[in-house]
Amino acid sequence: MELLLFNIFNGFIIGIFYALMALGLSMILGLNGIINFSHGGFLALGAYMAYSLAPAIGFWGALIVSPFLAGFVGLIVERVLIRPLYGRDPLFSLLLTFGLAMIMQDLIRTFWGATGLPFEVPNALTHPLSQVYFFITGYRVFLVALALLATASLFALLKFTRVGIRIRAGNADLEMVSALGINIYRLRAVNFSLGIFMAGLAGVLAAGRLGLTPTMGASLIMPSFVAIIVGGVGSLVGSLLGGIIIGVAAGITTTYYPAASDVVIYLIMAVVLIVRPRGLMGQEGLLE
Amino acid sequence: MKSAASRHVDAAKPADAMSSQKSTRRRVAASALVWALLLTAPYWLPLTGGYTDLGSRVLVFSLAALGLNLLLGFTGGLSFGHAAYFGLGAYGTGLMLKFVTHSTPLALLAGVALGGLGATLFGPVTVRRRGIYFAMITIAIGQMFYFVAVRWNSLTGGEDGLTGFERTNIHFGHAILNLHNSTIFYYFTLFFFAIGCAVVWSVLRSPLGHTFVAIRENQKRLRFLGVSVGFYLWIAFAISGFIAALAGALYALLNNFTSPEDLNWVLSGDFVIICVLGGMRTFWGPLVGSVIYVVVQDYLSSITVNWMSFIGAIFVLAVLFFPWGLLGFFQRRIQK
Amino acid sequence: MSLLSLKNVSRHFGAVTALSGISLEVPQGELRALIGPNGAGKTTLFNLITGFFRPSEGEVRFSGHSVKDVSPEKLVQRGIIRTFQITEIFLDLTVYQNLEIAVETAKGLNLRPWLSRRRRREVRDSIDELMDTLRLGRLSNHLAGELAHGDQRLVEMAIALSHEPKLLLLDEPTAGMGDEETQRMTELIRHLHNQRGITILFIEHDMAIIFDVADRITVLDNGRLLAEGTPAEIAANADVQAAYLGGVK
Repeated sequence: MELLLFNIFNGFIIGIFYALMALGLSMILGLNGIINFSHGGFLALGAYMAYSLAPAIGFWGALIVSPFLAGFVGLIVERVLIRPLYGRDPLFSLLLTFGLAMIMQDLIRTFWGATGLPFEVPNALTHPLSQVYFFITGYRVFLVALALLATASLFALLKFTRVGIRIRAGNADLEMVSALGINIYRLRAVNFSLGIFMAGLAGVLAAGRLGLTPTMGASLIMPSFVAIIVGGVGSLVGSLLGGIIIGVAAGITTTYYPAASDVVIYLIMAVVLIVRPRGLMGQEGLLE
Repeated sequence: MKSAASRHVDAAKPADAMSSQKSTRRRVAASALVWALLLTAPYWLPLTGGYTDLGSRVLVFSLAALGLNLLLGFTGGLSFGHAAYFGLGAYGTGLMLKFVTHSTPLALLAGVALGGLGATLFGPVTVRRRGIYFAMITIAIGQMFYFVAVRWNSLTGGEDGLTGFERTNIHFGHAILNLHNSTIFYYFTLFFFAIGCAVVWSVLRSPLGHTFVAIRENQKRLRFLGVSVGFYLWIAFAISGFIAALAGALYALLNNFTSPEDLNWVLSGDFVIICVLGGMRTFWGPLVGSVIYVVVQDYLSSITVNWMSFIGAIFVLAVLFFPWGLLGFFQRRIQK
Repeated sequence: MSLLSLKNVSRHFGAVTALSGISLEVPQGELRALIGPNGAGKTTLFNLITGFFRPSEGEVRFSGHSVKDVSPEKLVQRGIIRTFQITEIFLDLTVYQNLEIAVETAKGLNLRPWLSRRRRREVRDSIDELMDTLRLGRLSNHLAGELAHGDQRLVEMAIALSHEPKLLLLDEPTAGMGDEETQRMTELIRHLHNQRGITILFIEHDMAIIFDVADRITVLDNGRLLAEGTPAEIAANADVQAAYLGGVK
């Protein structure tokens, strides 16, 4: 029983990483019309920048600064590489971001080395909070809380700020938004870097839990795709939900049949596609 | 008015007919050149600093990309997961040789069947959606096979890959086809490459192929001609899966080894970029792309540890500056 | 017996009612015009007849059978063919290739990975025949996307005709055409009706054409059936005058 709870909790935490990734991917997919294969690269970049910044500005400083830096890099990448792809066959954005992912992974390996690096989190966060449920450490609770906070802020931003409302409107009907005289390029740039910000944040959090490797993002990207498909393209809530569902499902599977824990999320996806092709919360006809 | 129109017909027709005759002749000449080069490759490859197994590798990747391109370039189905069927072909062949039989042809058959049926079985799941969504689903399904191969240690050897099998010679009565010989294996591969070409070539000239192209061009129109697009997309998916599986099976024989990397989405991306580099809308594009890509990769990985950045740069630059590929580029130049 | 019959058909999109309570009978062999101001629901009606949308209420019957739950693909095979307001053809293919796909589809050959010599000749003959009917021969090797608008419309008509339609639905066949092109299209429609006996339902804005060729006219306004009758009756109808003709002219 404890093992099951442990694995569910673990799965939930992994699910949060999937969800944070999927959220950013989903935003970029919706407004920019791009599948960002390099999203995992940005996650790793956020983590490694935090690693290098932490000795100078501490864990908390790095936690705040690093995602912004990642978002800034995202802004530049959007301007230089992504913008020429708007309106073109989706094949090209897939290929370009695929290549970008390779380059980022290779550069990270060149700068920081191929071997895994540890990432220190403050001592205050490492103690277990409960004797029985030893796996509920302060860091994990902190991680969940911060992820929730970030997600809530993102949704608030989309709901209440002017740029957020425009992003959501652009998601629903791009032509309409540009007909209203809104600068669609600027909107897409902001949106892209917002998505990358979420990846950077997920990167720092992931570093604190698992340490750093150049491939840390690449291993998260596939489940994030699955999260989007399960949750439904076009729905941010769906992506969030999809991430958590497959994370927990993988956790549960680990308890009973560890070898299948990687495969189970794809089976869930296949079932969802057969039963409900547009995903749990998806709308009909988007991006097709 | 009528006579003016008919005069126009008379004036226009010979010119059109001539230009189409000319382009047919050009195409035949190009194909003859391709086959001549492929048939003589073992003799001129060493002169260029290449080696025979590299030639076989190029053929294998061409064959896989040729299969993929039927779906990607001609049907417009954005599969980013074709390594799955390539890898299933490789594992099917390897496992057959290791555990069941020492017959190379049977092993090849097993690989083709496993990969091809895999594509046929999972095709209906992918064709439920189109566009970007289709791409994401194909990737994800491919990745499922990858994890199966990684985790099913006892059967597949897990992450270390499947070893302990070897291609065997084929006996025809008293004659022996010595597949251990690199040159002979190259021709063995070329034989199957030719079969793949023949299949794709004849499909493209048939109503089935015309339907595929029509799907790429205008699904709505086709639907309102009474064609269920999903069904034909599935058929394209299955055919291209069988061809990719054949390539994978040959790859396992070439290396006497297969690993989860042969199923991974990174390899799927390689196949796609091969099609794009050569020219997606052209028949020989996959071959040309494969020559470029395999040779460049082989070369880069021997001179720098950062070869991944260079390969990534090829992706980025190809998309930004060269989206129609080498052959597509020439084709447009000629048409203008 | 009516070839096409609609009984009390409505269609809502959320809170918006696009069509309400439409009843319509189109007998075999009739040339029927469908008119009405923009937003009257004409194209929605086409979408209901071709199975692209389902009616929210009511029933559509084609040659005596309900088309409920029949897919658009199946309806095409039963003989309902349409053209679109915005021309739907294969722009990156030549005119010949466009017709090739259409003919092969019409003959049910899509699944064939190869063709016998005899079959291939049949296909070629059908293509040539279509080219002759529509006088497209001179454009055979041109890319459809590079043709003049009027010629693209003809290609679309040829594609539709390849399926030997029982009911042909034309969505503004002369929209955006010059005088000469319009005249050619009008002649073609009349030819298909008179010589081939195809039942045609067409949406049109050009009153001259409508009064020239149509047997009967159906007038839609705001999703409702406003009037129906011969051109003479419609011209004399006070409601139509007020709602439509008066509004436009």
